[in-house]
Amino acid sequence: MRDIYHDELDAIGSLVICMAKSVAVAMERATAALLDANLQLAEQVLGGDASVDALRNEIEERCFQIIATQSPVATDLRVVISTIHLAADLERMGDLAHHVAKIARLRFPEHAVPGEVRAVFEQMGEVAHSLITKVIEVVDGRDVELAQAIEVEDDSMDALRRKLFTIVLSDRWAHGTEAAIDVTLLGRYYERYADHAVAVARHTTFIVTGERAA
Amino acid sequence: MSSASVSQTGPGFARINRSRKVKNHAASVLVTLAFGLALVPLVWLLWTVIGKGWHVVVHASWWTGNQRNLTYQDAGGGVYHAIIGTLLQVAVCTVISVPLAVLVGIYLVEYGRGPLARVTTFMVDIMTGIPSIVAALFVYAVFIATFHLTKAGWLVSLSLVLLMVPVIVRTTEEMLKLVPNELREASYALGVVKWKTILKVVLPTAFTGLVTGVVLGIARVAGETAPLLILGPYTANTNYNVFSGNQAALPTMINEMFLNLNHATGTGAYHLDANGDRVAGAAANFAPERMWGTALTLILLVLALNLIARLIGRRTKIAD
Amino acid sequence: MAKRIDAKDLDIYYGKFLAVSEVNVTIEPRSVTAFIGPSGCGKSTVLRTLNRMHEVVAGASVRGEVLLDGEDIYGAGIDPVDVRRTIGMVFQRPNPFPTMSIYDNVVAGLRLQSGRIRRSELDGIVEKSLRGANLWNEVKDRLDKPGAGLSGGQQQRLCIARAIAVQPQVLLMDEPCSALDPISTLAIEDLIQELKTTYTIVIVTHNMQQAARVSDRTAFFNLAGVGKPGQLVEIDETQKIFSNPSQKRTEDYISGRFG
Repeated sequence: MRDIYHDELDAIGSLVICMAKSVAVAMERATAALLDANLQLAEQVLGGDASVDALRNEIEERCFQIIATQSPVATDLRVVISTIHLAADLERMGDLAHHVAKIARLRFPEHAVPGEVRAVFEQMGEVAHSLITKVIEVVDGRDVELAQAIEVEDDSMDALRRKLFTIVLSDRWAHGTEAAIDVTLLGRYYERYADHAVAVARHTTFIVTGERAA
Repeated sequence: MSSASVSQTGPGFARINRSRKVKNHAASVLVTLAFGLALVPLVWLLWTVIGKGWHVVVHASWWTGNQRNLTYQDAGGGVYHAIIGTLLQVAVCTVISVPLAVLVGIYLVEYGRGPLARVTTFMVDIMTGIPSIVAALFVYAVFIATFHLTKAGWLVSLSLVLLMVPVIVRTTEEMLKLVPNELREASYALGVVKWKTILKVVLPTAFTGLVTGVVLGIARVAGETAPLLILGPYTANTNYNVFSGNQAALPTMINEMFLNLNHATGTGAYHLDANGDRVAGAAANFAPERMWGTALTLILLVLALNLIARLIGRRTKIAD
Repeated sequence: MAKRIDAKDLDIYYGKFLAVSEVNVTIEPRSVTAFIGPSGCGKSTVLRTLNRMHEVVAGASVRGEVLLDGEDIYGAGIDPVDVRRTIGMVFQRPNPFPTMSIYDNVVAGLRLQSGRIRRSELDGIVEKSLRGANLWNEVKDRLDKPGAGLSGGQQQRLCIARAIAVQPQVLLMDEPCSALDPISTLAIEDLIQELKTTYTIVIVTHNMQQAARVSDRTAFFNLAGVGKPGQLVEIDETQKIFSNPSQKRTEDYISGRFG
């Protein structure tokens, strides 16, 4: 029954996974470009952002079509509306990876991050990667418990950012204002990345339970 | 549906197969011929009757006079007495048959479910096949042989009842079945009882059909001759009383004229004049033309009844 | 004026065949309740038992109770004809009486029930009923024209006017918009919203969006299995049924995964 409708819902779901994977790759490369001052990787990220935006537009367009033509109800309706929202979140995540890569390119051939904060950013990169991987699993399998694990991991990203602050604001900071600004902005980008990942997880929970997080 | 062979593999449609064209044409010709053949007897009949009878029918006196005191040798006279007889007998038959048959039809469609309905339907089926002479004999056996009543117009009507009732029952059934069930349901849903629904909703909706059925029944019995021969002797006088005395009817008048056809005509014939003397030459014989005139009159009467049915049908049309 | 209906342990039979089993529903007064479900699941059958129209079919019977404000309409000695005066019905295909004018159609129920009513009274009833059915302005100048000469949507509103002219407490509607075009359908839906302030309404519909738009509560019926009787699967607030139903079968049906 209604095979075309359900096939289309599945197709949109695949596009979302595809978009999430692109974002994961983008952030991975951006982090590597940042830590290793790799111009080539930075340029790849900057070039690839356009396709992430295009994916978001396509997902949104197809969701509009479904609403207009198929009158989804109950779970299907939640899927369609939430997909529109989480596609926006994923696009923001792609933009954040883009910003990270931009700073890496700007400071080339210097390292944008000084040695003493390098370890923090390494950890931030790992947390970001872990988060996006979990997000892909949550969206694919609609696993509500995993979604809650993501919220917990977001806290660790917040802790890392606070650590960054402490280092920059301490008296021992010797790299100047420009570097301080770069590091602060980068920290903010990673933190926002994690927040958007949490938002995606919450949208998925809403799809399954019909309840919004408190 | 098309069985045309595709004669090309390229783009475009196939042409009509030649054999199909020929078959189609042959079928059309065959059907038209059959139609023509079926028309032949009808046209021949009308041609004959009209040709032989119309010059009698056009006189006004034909419609107002009877055959009193006229022999086959005398000119003039009319068919009024026979028309009156036919109309009266058919009227009595209708008055008895229609209420009975319509009620039976209503019972069979609206109420009957059990064994009584099955038996009734079966009986009505048998009645549609009763030969008219058997119906006449039945009436004779009961009323004349057993009750020793005399032959009269109303006995003819009774045997016509046996012939008319099954026709009207069947058409009533068909017309009532044509009334959509939704109308009945709409009425029940308004809290209307069943008999009122039948009376005020179903019957009015089926009315034109019922009237048509009645008129068809009348048209059928108006020309039945066997009951008249057994139960309703002919008279040349006009008799308005269906319950006593001989009463003329159109079929028996035809028969009467027919019996007088063979009086001699041609050379060597003679006849007696008013003084009783022999006169050479054949007697004039007006029987043949009166016979055909009466036949034409009967056909015209039935035609008029059919037209009345159509007019009634047009007047109370069921809107769609 | 409008009454509530309670069906208790209702089993519906056609002869010996059990068509629908163990229905327990409550229809709140002055509300619209929708019956939805796939074809053949028994929702129209259940509807017709609510005003004893089910018995019109030969051999059909019912076990259990249907209470109208506490009184069992299937009680011993209760006249089904009287029940139908209180619980009216509108059918899928508009069926105005073809031999009657618009005026006569509206008052047909009254005239056929009781016979003599003064013409002045009837005029008032005709106007009130036609206004109630949102048809007055369109037909007030041609009340003596045949009822069957109207468009489909107008005919259906005429049937609604005819049904409310006898002043029932409850209106049952069996897929009233199935045979109509979309504009007429929406007109009837608006009408239902107005009517529910006066009558209790139960509507059977195949159109789920219509059920979601029009009803306050929705009942989902389904067959228990192939060859098994129909049954009530779930009844709840319409909002809940269409956003988060309790039963998976309900969700599958409204999402179009079967039916």
